[in-house]
Amino acid sequence: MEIIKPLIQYLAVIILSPLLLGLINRVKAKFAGRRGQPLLQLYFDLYKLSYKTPVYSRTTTWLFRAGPVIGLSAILCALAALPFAGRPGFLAFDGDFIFLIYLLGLGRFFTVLAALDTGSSFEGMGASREVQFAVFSEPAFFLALAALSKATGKLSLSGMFLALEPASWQAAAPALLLLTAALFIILLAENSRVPVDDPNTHLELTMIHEVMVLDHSGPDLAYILYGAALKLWFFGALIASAVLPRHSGSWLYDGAAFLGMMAVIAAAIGTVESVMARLRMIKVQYLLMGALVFSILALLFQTGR
Amino acid sequence: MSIPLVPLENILFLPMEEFTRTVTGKLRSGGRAAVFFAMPEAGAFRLVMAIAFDLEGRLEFLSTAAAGSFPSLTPELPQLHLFEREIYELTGLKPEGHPWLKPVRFTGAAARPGVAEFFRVHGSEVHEVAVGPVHAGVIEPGHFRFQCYGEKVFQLEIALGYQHRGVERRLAAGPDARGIHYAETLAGDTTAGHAWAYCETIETLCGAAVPARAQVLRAIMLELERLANHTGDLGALSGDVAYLPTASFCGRLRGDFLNMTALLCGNRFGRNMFRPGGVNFDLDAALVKELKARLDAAFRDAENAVALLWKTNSVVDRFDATGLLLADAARGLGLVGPVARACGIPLDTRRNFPFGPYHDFTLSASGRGDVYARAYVRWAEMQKSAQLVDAWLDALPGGPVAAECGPLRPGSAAVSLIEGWRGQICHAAVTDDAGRFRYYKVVDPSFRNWVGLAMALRNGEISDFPLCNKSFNLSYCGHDL
Amino acid sequence: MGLYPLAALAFGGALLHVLNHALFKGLLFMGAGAVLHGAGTAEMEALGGLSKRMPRAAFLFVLGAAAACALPPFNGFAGEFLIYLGAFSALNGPANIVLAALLALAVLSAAGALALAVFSKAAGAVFLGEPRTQAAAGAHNCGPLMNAGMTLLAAACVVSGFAAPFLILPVSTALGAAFGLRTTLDFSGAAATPLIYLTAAFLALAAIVWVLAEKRRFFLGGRQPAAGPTWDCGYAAPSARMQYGASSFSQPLTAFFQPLLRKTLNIPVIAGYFPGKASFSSEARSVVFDHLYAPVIVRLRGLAFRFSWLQHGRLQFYILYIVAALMALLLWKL
Repeated sequence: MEIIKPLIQYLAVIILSPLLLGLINRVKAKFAGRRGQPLLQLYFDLYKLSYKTPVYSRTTTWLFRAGPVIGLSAILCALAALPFAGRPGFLAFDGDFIFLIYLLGLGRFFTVLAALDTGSSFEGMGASREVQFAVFSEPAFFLALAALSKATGKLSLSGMFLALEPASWQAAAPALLLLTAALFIILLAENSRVPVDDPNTHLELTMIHEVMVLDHSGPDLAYILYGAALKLWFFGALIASAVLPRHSGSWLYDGAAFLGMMAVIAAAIGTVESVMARLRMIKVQYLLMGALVFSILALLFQTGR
Repeated sequence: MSIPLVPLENILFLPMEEFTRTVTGKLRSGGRAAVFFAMPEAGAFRLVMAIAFDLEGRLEFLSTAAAGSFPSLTPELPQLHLFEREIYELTGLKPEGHPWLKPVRFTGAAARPGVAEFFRVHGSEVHEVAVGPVHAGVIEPGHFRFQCYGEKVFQLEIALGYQHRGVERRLAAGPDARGIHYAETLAGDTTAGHAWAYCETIETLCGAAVPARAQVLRAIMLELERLANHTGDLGALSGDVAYLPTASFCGRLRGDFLNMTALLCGNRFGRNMFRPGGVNFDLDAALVKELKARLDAAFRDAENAVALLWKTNSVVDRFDATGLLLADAARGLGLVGPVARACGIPLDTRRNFPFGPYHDFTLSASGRGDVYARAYVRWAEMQKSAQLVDAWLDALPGGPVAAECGPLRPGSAAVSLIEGWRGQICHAAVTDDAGRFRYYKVVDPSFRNWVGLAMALRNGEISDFPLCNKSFNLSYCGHDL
Repeated sequence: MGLYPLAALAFGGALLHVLNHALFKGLLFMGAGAVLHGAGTAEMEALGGLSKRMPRAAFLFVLGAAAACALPPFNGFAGEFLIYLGAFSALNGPANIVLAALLALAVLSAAGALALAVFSKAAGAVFLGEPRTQAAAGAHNCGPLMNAGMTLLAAACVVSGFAAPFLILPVSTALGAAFGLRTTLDFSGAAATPLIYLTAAFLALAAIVWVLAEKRRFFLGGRQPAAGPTWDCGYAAPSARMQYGASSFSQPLTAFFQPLLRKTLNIPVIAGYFPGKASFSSEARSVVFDHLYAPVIVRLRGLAFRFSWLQHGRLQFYILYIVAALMALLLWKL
């Protein structure tokens, strides 16, 4: 079993993911006519937070302290199984994407419980919204992957992305376009981006994800912010792998192209955030159902051939 | 034409029952309570009310005597609710039969601001969301209590009083050199409005005639203040819906308008410009040219930034039908300013009680009382303000910029009404026999409008609250004084 | 047809899930019993903060809830995983099978997310936050025997989560007994590799959790974290009503599924600017019970009522019934 290449890939992901958020913020700043935060701002924040002494609410229990640890572990484990530039990660087996989605669910469960642990109505509100949107985004996610599985005939993520070639795009363009669109909408929802949520807002009553972690501080908050950056990479990597069919055999060349694509996706997210307002909270359900419909259509288009 | 002063002996004095009946009759037939207060007199209190007939442009005074308690007029006339609560808090005169007798500013010695009995929707499934006093932004303190079921809000109740500084008491110790500064800072973003109201009160009482040039300069200050704040509001509204372009541009443009104010008087918020009798600083030809150029440039940029708002579907969709305030509620509760105009109510002091150089003013009222209407009315007012300032700068009358203010006429009452950018500002002063203030009352437009926000959130979504709050953008200090 | 292996996989997954379901459901019911015993009420809106009063029961309930949501690395995951795998494998079959698989996937994933909502609400409203009533505030811990029972089941959940490959044998034996040897082999062949990889992944997850927990301790560097109240915006008099309620937690979802749920909401009509009293209540009756079971039960009961003359209370006649039944059986067997 190969160790070196997956290890380098994994390290690259772990080190580079906070850069994505920096890129998105820079793109948004450009649209707003500002210079923007430094690209490496999240790294500085993580360092600062790691060595701060946290404050814990007297209402909280072990769950509050465990939540960030389990959330970050879940996404780190998921990244170990995620393909990089079409190459498999450490773990690759039939059905690994099911495991990955449920790992995200594990992170969600403990984040929600940690939020409810504080006994604050703000965080309960955020938790309620988070679980509500999961009911719509998970079917969309599964069906998008089902469409991809049908298009490539494989059952593991790396298998699917390895089997995607420029020819497959020509043959199954509508299905692949639809499922990419569905995955992009799910990315915006799962990572609390406009139009689902505004990551820069200070208004607790409108937040979903940020308000769930309102009472966290110190290393816990560092874990949460880092986990959020990794989660953004996770979804971005799925889209990048779907959009960039592998062609050359060179690991370095494909890796560089993949990283370039991730930067393009970050820029796309920044652009979407800058040109539209966020949706009313009730309308987010309909956006996610739209993603579900895209996935179903993608699957049906594939069935037709 | 400002409101002429009224000698105290000319104020109609009625016995309590007749007072109640007359007031009810007048307020039901086109009148609106401009101010209602209780003045200490001969061991008891004298209740004084100034009723404004907006469509006719005149003010009527009525008064009565009260001791211990008086029959509350709120059940019949809800617009008096907060005045009566304030009277109770300040003087101990109990309005018998008031349905909502709660503290206004928590001024008692043992009172903790915001800690009161809140309206509860009973039921184990209802939870309360308590927001404030400390908010997650550079916002003034205030407490909001929601009764919620999930995302649905049944009722919102607002408790203020965290910023009570005792301004009215200090103003009543005058008139002295500090008075103008108290007026300028009682609501920091409405310096021009309150300073003008204070100066006009004094000018009415001493009979000074403010020169025409000073009137125009005062109006330019007021309109620049309106422009700056409305621009800031539109930017903040788009920031709240995460629409970045307008939010960023309007943020900068507000600074540009504030800098224009600084061009006039050296202070971005307009401090130290107004004085009783006129203004402190003048504009020369070079400054006029500079101001015009800056105004044109800033307004053109604002036009482009704000046009984006109306053109972007996601923004319009977010603003539309959010935070609906019915016109009946606005009228019944006596709301003023852009909030009332956004419900279609044609209330604007610049039209109803023209002051300074405002003649034949066309007010902007439209919409059905949602966030979109309140935003759009602000834009319409911005356009009007820019037009007015441009016209005034082109035709500044000559002459001095200040007149002498003599001693105040003793034993008189004066009311000045100014249209601040939030709505109608009312200052009422009563002088004693020595020509000093005996009583001073300030009514900021926020004093009337906070209850409107509570009404707008009923049966709404809690995630709409920040947007609604921003669309009202009321002053916490102006309420708390 | 090449579909038998898929069917074997999915069916075996279902059987595995039934087995695991028994373990975590039992644990959850025991937890509910512990709460009822300790607080005297099982109404979620009256509870809260029980984690401080019965810490072990809370810990085990959260574990059971995680297992019930089929979250890795607990036992609920393996069975659902195999069902999903079967559905995904079925995507390569003919069109009608693909549609069935699509439906199965959509329903399964939505149900999984709903389960997450339900169990986080249950665990959160009951055990976390502040107690909402006196009953909850005065709840007492359950005894060692109660805790022992729950611990046993919880341990079983964790062990069968990590040791899922070992459960392939009993499940495939059961399949073989029902469907034949071919199914046994199909199932064990298809399920073995993924489940072994899963166990490896679970171990990796556990290792990562341990590393991160240690790193956190390192970051804290022996400093004592400060304690304070939950952020309440600086309000002078916070109360327990200011935390999210259980009903409110699920309100967006119940509102969306209202046509199916047919929940009765008694919404207060708050009229006037200065309202008096108002109250709100809601009731969710089981739609399936009201519209499916109840009519059938009523009809059956009506039918049975026709024979109520048989029950007249005289012992002698009951003995006569027994004798008559025995004689009838004897005659029939002759």
